[in-house]
Amino acid sequence: MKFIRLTLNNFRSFYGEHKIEFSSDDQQPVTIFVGDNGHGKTTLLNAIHWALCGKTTPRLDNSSQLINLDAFSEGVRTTSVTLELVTGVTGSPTYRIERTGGNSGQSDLMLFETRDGITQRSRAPDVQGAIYEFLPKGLIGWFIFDGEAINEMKLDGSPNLRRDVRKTFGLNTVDTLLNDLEHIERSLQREISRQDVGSVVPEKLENLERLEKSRDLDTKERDELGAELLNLKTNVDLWSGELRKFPDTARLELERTRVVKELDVAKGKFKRVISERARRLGDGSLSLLAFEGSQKLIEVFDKLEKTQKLPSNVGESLIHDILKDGRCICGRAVEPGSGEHESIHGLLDTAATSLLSSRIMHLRYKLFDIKRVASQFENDYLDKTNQISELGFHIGGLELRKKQIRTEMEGIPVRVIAELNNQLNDADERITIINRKIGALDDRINVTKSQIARLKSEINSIQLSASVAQSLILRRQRVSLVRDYIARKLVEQERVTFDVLAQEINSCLQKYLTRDYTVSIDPQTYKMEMLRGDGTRIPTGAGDGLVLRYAFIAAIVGMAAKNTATQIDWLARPVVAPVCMDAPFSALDESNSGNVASTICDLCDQVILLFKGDAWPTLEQKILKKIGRVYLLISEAKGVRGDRPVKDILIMGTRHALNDYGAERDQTVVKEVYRA
Amino acid sequence: MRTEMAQDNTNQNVTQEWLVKAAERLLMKSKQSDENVPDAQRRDALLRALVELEQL
Repeated sequence: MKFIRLTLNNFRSFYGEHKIEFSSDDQQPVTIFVGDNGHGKTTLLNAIHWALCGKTTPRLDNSSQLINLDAFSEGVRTTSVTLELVTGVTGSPTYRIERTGGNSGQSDLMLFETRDGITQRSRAPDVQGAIYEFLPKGLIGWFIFDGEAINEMKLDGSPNLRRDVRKTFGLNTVDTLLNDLEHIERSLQREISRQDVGSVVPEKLENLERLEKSRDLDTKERDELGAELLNLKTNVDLWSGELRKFPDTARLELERTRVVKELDVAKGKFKRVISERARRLGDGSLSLLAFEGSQKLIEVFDKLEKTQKLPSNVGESLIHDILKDGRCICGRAVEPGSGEHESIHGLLDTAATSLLSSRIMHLRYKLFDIKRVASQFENDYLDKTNQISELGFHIGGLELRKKQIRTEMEGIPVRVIAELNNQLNDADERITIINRKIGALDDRINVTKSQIARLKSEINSIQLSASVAQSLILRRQRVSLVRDYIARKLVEQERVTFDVLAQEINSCLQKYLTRDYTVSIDPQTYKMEMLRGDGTRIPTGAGDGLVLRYAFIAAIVGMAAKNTATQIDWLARPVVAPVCMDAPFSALDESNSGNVASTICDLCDQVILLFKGDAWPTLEQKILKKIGRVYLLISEAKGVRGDRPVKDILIMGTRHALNDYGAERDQTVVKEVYRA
Repeated sequence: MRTEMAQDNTNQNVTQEWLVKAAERLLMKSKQSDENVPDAQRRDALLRALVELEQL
């Protein structure tokens, strides 16, 4: 990771906006800020620290006052720091961290990514976490620190030391990966156990084979029966065709039976009608003879009445009643002595007596009866005669049909027909049996087919599981192999790391010190001690002992950046970040500071140093070739200078003032005075 | 990473070259989803990387 640009906005002593470009050149990776005490060096370091983690360093005075005082008095209630950086990872975008906050200690954080000229806000769910990906939280203090507090760096073998060293070199990532792979391997093993199919498949395959054989046998039998059925139906059609050529014997027989029966009935009826006619003739022949006589007698009676040889039909009692009452039956008066009365009286000569009239009437009735009976006999006789004639005609027709039927039947080859009928009956019987068998076979075949389909599906599913299991087994084996491989590599890398760390620290110590001191590192805890040649321990809290911390930082940062003499091909990407030191070497003896600065600037990819003007001459000589940019932190004060002093500094042959007067406000301004 | 003969992996068709590549790929994937990602999500990403590696 390298810092590109820092922008301050009303941050502590920096009023308004200040933009600072860092040197990120590989050959001149050092950016230097020179300023006296109170000119804003620690503020600048804290601006970077605050941008990265939202906190200031422990030694910052008045740390709750982040907003520039003049700006605050003008009503400004927020301050912001923007830090732009690149991670150095191929294909990675340029990041911009924007932190805004007030004096409350709270801050808002935004992260932007610029790729191919397009800037967009990061979609990382945890922006602070994403920033810790660039520089892990626990390691910020190793890269961005206050040199005056260098002796607070613990190299005493605390658990954090080993953890942080491993983290810097990415070894914790390898630990996590190994742990993850072990977890994945266990998951795969569980999945394999679930997929285990045992001996189910062979058993099911045997069942499948048996069912398929059964299906084939049934199908064969069904096909044979089908062929036989087809043959039989062909024969049935043939025989039926032949039978249709002959008259229908059964129909003829039936008709003959019907004709005979009808003939019997007709003949019986014929006899009965003849008999009835004969009886009627016997009963009615005398009435025919009497008919003529009665007719004659009626004519005689009529004639005698007309000639009055028989009493009239007027009764004498009636005449007596009219004469006695003097009134006709029509109501008209008949006066005695009148002509009419005489005339009616004269009727008494021919008037009938009642007895005679009764006998004549009886006789007449008898004569009419004789006539009626004779007439009815004639009608009956004619009717019967007609019936006899019709029946005779009908009987003749039936006799003729009976004869025709007999002739037709005599022409039929009965034996042939019987044989054909027998064959047809046999065939029908066989067809019925075959159809029944085919039906049963079809049912059985369908059931078997269904069982086969189900079994095949089960087998496919099991085989798929088996295939999945096999694939999972291979995957688990591969995971196991790669895990073993990485674990072996990690052990190897830890050993190499330990050796190289000791080697690099010793190399630094040799450059820093004139004495022959070496470092002793505990391989378990990474506890570090500096030893004299005779093996005695040197206290690390002050003097020469302090350089061990700088040597440790230089070695760690250099190893991570692969800038050391022995380079390690890291398993995982290590943390590579700029080293940013405030008052970097103030705790060291002047004789050591130049060498320490030189080593650090040689080993680190990017270095930001903030120091007082006093230290400049020594450092300039040691790190001149590495310097990319130099800034002055100039303190400006309000009011006229008067007797107040102005300090200056010679940088790259040019003299610059470190403070000034007559400004609108008391503030720090940043001025670039050198760029490589 | 140094190239060396893998142990007897021939029966599983795993070569030393494959192991080196797999380790690099998995470490890269693991680093990409480091502290900021839940375990399950990171492991899923690793498993996907492993499946892709099987095609190599």
